[in-house]
Amino acid sequence: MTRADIYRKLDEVFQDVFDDESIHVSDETTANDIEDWDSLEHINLMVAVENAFGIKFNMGQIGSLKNVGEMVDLIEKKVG
Amino acid sequence: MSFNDLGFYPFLLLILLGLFGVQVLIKKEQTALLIRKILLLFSSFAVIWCYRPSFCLSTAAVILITYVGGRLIERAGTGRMRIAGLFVTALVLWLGYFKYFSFLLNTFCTLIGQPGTLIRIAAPIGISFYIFTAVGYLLDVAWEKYPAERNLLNLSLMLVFFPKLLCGPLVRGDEFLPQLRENRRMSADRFMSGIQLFAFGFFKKVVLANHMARFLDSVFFAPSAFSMSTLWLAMLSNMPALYFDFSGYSDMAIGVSRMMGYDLRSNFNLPFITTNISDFWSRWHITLTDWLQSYLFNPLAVRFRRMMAGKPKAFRKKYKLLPECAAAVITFFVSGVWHGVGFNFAIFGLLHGIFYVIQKVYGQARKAKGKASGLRFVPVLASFLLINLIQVFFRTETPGEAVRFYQALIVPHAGVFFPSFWCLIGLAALCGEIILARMEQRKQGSAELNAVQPRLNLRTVPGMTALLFLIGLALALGYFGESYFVYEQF
Amino acid sequence: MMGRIVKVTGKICLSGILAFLALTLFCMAYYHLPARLEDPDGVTDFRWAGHAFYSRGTEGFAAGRTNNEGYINESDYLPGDPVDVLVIGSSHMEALQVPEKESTAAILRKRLPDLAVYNVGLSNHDFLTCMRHLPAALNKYHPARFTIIETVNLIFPDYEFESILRRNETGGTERSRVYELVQKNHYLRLLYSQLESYRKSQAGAQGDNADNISDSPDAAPKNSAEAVGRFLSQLHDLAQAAGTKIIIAYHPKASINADGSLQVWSDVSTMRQFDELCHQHGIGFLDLSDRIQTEYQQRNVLPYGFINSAVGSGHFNAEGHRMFADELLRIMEEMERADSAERSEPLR
Repeated sequence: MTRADIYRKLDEVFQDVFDDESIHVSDETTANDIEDWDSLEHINLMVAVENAFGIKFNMGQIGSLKNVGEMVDLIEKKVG
Repeated sequence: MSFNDLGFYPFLLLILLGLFGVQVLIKKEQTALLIRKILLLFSSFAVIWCYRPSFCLSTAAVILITYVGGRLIERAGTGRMRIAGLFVTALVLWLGYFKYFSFLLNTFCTLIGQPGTLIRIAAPIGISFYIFTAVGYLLDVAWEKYPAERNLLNLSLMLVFFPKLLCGPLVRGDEFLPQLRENRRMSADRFMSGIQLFAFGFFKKVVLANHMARFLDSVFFAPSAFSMSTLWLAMLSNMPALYFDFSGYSDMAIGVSRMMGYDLRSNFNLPFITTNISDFWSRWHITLTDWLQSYLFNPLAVRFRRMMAGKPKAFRKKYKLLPECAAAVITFFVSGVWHGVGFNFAIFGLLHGIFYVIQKVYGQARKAKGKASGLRFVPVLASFLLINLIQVFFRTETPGEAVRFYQALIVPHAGVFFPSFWCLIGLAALCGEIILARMEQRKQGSAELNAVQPRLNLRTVPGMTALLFLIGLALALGYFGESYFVYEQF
Repeated sequence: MMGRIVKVTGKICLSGILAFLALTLFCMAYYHLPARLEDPDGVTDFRWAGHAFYSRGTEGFAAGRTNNEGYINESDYLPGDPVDVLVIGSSHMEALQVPEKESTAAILRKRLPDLAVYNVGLSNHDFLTCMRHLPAALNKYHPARFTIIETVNLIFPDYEFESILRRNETGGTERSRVYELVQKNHYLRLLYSQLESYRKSQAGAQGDNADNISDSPDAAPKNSAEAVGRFLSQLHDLAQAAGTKIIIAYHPKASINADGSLQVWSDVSTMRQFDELCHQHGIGFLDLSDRIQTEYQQRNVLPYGFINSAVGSGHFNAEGHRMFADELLRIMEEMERADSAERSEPLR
C-alpha cells in the first residue's frame, strides 16, 4: 500500500469517526486540529483504524503517537 | 517515620547535608551519582525499617521481581504480553493479599455464619503506591514505550524513593528513570522552590487539615447528635479537609524531592472548580487518575471497543459510549477499593463511576443539541455538593453509617450546634486559592485556570522572612494531637 | 566564595530574627500568658505576674488582665479584704478560655451581690495540689461562708488520702529548665506547649492507657471508705477551725457515643460513696454528671469544647461555667438551709 492510499483510507476513517465529511488529514495533523479529538475519541479512532486496515496496535503505540504522520508510518510498517 | 513525625526532620536534614556534601566534595561525576543514589536508597529503606524491619524484606522482594520481570518481558518478543500478565497478576495479588485478605475472609465467614478472624495483616508501608508504580513500569516495557531498566539501583529508587514512598505522587518510568540517570544536582533555585512548596504544604496539613479533621471525626462518629446546620457544614468541609491533608502532604513530598534535585508531578490542581466528575479526577490525585487511565481505563476501553467493532453500524452508533462507560465504571470501582478496604469504599468508587457515566451521556446529549458546556457558578456549586455527598462514604466506616449520616442531614432533628471555626477558615482558604488562581489567569491571559505555585523570592530578606514566618506560624497554629491522615494506611 | 556564604548566612539570620519578632507579636494576641512567679503565701503552686495581660486563641477566644495578686478576678485584693466565698481549682476555674465575666467565679459574684467571691484557680492545680495548699489558703483569706474546691478527678490511692492534709509542703512544683528558659518569650512558650501536646499524642498512640493522674501501675487500693472517711473528717476539722464550709465540686469528662447519647466518664459507685461520705462528714459535694446529661438531652449543649478546638472536650466553655455556677449555688443554698435550723441568716 502506498502512502497516498493509506491517506485516502484514513480520511474515510476520520470522517466516519468524527462525523465530518470535510476532514482531510496530513502528516502534521494532531489532536489539536480536530475539535472532538480527545483521549476517548482517540481510542475510537485507533480501533477504527485497526479495523479499516486489518491491523492491531498495542497499547504503547495507541498512546504515544504525536501526529498523523507517525500513525501513517506505523500503519505502513504493519501493513507491510 | 513520615512528615507527621518530629523525628523525621533531623533525618531529612542529615540526608540533605549528605547529598550536598557528595555534590561538593566528590568531583568524579559517576562516583558522585552512584553515592547519591545509594544514600537515597539507604535512607528509603531506613524509613521502611522504622515502621517494621520485616517490611524491608517484602519490599526488596517486590523490587527484585519487578526488575527481573522487566528484563524478561523485554527479551520475550512475541510472548511478552503473556509474561507481563503473569508478573502483573503476581504483583496485584501480592497487594490484594495484604489489603483485602482478612476483609474478604471475614465477609465470607459472615456470609456462611461463622465467626470471623481478628487477624489483621499489616501491609508494608507504601505498598499501594509502589506496586502500582511497578505494574505501570512492567506494562510500559511490555508496550515498548521504553526499554527495561538495567540498573537495579535506578529501579529500586523509582519504587521506594522515600519522599513519595508513603503517599505518592505516583511516578511514571519515563519521567523518573531519566532523572535518576542524569546527575541531578541540588541547586539553589530548586532548593528555594522546593522549600517553599514544602512550607505551604506543611501549613495546609498541620493547620487546616488537622484542625478540620478534629471536628469532622466527632461529627461523622455521631451524626445524630449534631444540629442540621452543623452536619451540613461538616459534610461540605469533608472533601476540603481531605484536600488540605492530601495536597499538603503531596506538596511536602514534591517540595522535598525538589530540594534534592528531583521533579515529581503535581498531584492537585484546584479540584473544586470543576463541573463534572471526569474533570474533577483530572484535578484530584492527578497521578493516580493518570495511572488508572493509562493502565486500566485505556486498555479496557480499547478491548471493549474492539469487541464492538464486529457489530453492525447502527448498534455501534446507538451504544457509542458503551465501551467507555463500562471501562469507566470498572476503573472507578478499582479506584474505590484501592483507596480503602470495605464496602463503603467500593460504593464510593461506584458512585463516582455512575455519575461519570450520567454526566458523559448527558453531556453528549447536550452537545448534540448544540449547547456549550461552559464553566458557570451554579454547576460548580452543584458539583461541589455532589462530590461532598459521595465523599461521605469515604469518611464513614461502613455503608450503614453513611446512610445514617444522610438521614441525619435530611430528617429535621435537634442537636449540638457547633460552627467549627477551622472549617469556616478552611472553606475561606479554598475560595482564596481560587481567587488567586483567577487573578493569575487574568494576568497571564491563559485559557485554563491553574493553581498558583508559591513564588516567594527567597534571595531577598522579605521573601525569606515570609517563609520563616509561615513555617513558624504553622508550628504555632497547628494541631499536633492525634493525627488522622487517611492516606497513611497505604 | 566565603563572602557569599557570609552574606547568605547574614540574610538568613536577619530574616530569622524578623520572622521571630513577627511571630512573637502574633502571639501577643493568640497565646499570651503572664510570667510565672512563686507564690510567697503558699496558697497556690505559683502565681501569674500581677496586673498582667493574657490572651488565648488556641481554645476559645478570650483576653484579660490578672489582678494585683496574679489571679483571675475582676478586682484586686488588698490584705484584710473580706472574702465570703473562696474558689480553688484548676485551669477550669482559672477560665482563661472565656471572657472574665463568663467564668464560674464571675457568675457567682453576679448572683451573690452581697458576698465577696475570690478566685485562686490556676492551671495544673489538681485535687491533691489544691489540698496541699488548702491550709495556707484558708489561713490567708478566711473565707467566711464557703470554700469551693473544683476537681475533675477524685480517685486516688488510699495513701494519698491518708497523708495529703498532714503534709506541710507548700512549695511549688518543679518546672523543667527548658521551660524556665522559654518562659520569657510567648512564641517559644507556645511552641513548648505544642511540643508537649505532640508528645502526649505520641505516647497515647503507642501506649494503651488514656487514663491520667491517679493511675498507679500497682494494685494500690483506692478510695476505700475508711481512708476517704478519715480524710473528710480531717477536712471538716480544718474547715471548722477556719470558720468556713467546704464544697468539693467534681465534674467528669463526657463524650458523645455513636448513637448520639452522651457518655459521662465517671465511676458512678465510687462517686456515690464519696457523696455519702461527704454528707456524713458535713462536707458539701457536687457531682456535675447529672446536670451535664440533662443539659445535653434537653438543650443539646455540652459543657466543654470551643468552636476553634474540639467538640465536647477541653475546658469549661460559657455553658459549662453557667451550669457549674448554677449547681454550686444550689448546693450552697441547700447547705445553708440545712444549717438554718441553727442559724437565722439566709444566704442572700
